[in-house]
Amino acid sequence: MACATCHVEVDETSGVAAGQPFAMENEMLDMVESGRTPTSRLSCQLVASQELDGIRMKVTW
Amino acid sequence: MADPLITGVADETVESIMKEDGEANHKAVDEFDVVIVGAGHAGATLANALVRKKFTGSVLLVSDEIFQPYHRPPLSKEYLNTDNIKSRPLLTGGVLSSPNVTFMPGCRISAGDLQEGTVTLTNGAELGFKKLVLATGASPRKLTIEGADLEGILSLKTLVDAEKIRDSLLQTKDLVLVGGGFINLELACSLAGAGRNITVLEQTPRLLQRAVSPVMSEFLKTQAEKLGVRILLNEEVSRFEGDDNRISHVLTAAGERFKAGLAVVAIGSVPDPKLAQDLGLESSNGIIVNGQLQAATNVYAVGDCAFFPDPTTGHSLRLESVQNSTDQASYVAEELVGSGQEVYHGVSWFWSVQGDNRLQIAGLAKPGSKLVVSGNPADGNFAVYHYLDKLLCAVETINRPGEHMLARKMLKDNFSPTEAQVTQGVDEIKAALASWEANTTTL
Repeated sequence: MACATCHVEVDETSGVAAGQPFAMENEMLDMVESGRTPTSRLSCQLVASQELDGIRMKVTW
Repeated sequence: MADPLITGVADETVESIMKEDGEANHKAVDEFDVVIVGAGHAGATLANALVRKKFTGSVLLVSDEIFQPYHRPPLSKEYLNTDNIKSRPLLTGGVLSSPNVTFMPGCRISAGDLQEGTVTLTNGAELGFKKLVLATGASPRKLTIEGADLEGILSLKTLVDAEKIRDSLLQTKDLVLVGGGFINLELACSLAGAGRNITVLEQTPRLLQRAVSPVMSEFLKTQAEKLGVRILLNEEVSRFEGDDNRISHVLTAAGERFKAGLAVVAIGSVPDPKLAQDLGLESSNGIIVNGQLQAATNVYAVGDCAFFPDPTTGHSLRLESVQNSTDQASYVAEELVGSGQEVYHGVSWFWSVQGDNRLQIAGLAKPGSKLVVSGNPADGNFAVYHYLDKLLCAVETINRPGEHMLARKMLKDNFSPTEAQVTQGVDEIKAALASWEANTTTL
């Protein structure tokens, strides 16, 4: 995690949430160019799992 | 090779092109709207951006490696330590299988005629192009001293290089890393422990001299030493000694002799000067391009090989970084889809991971800049602000990713916080930036 270029907004209307960002990720999200939203995450920090099946995300760049 | 990522598709293309060429016996059998030479971060990003921007023309991506494009930064870090080796592909989501994209691995440009719009590749193919993008990168600088061609003296740029280093690690615990730059410091920290004797030999009085402040050099040295890495400064390597054609010792000008089963030479890298010559392009420290990154009307150069003008200083420079490669590639993609833009203006940033420390640098450190330190290096969490005539030009951070992002924003907006604000901490800087922004928008 170094660049924050993988900023995504999770669309929770799909019924799938990605959870809270980690501490360093949280700090970086505060400063992302496209502006932080309540469901912003850095996608490099999301680990694919059964729980994320069906997740919808908006790529911000 | 554990994770080959080798493609079979492009081989057929090569064959068919060569066959056609032989039969027809005239040039330019295949025409492409865009020919991208080099599939590192710059070349691959450009191909990706063209697909994402729905570029409708044909694109040829030429690589001198046999693999599909992959991420290079992990090669000096986790890649060497992971049992289950996986290289990380750069192009996902079907970019290489897009109908208008052709990937041609395993060859380089050998000649070209820019007026005609043709290039000849080392596999014999002659191709026509409307636009040529050189993303040919840079290669590790070699030491030309006695013994430099012994086995076990390696450099690190590609997946193949990383494989060779991994193989050597099975045979030796004695590593001498020549050059105290990013690659060798990352290597040293990644490989420290496991009973290895790791020595870094740096020729200048401090580590990373061209890239970071003295306080950062000292911090990184202390951190590597804590991991058991031996770092020796002011040491010039004079000779390699071998045993049965394999390296056994590294000798220094001062007369020291270090046992080595593996030596990694990482003393900077240089773009291939021959390519520009062959194409009749101007080069100095890289291929000379204008503000639109053009080397000629139908030729662009991007990434490590490009010597480009910095709009803030008016001077040209060449940068080796993922950010520079991807930003320049995105810029050229935008040019190729036809939208008019201002000249290229990137905000430089770099990162390095050394052990548990994440170094991030925003902007470019310049000689003679004034340094302001926020936080205490002893806590492993601090920032170094570089000022040139009260103007912020660079910020180095250790384990402060939020402040790094803030620094990038300030550099982009040409905002310089005062020294007092910097020493008071991030919240103070953010407040100052916010009020400056509010004032600027009302003006």
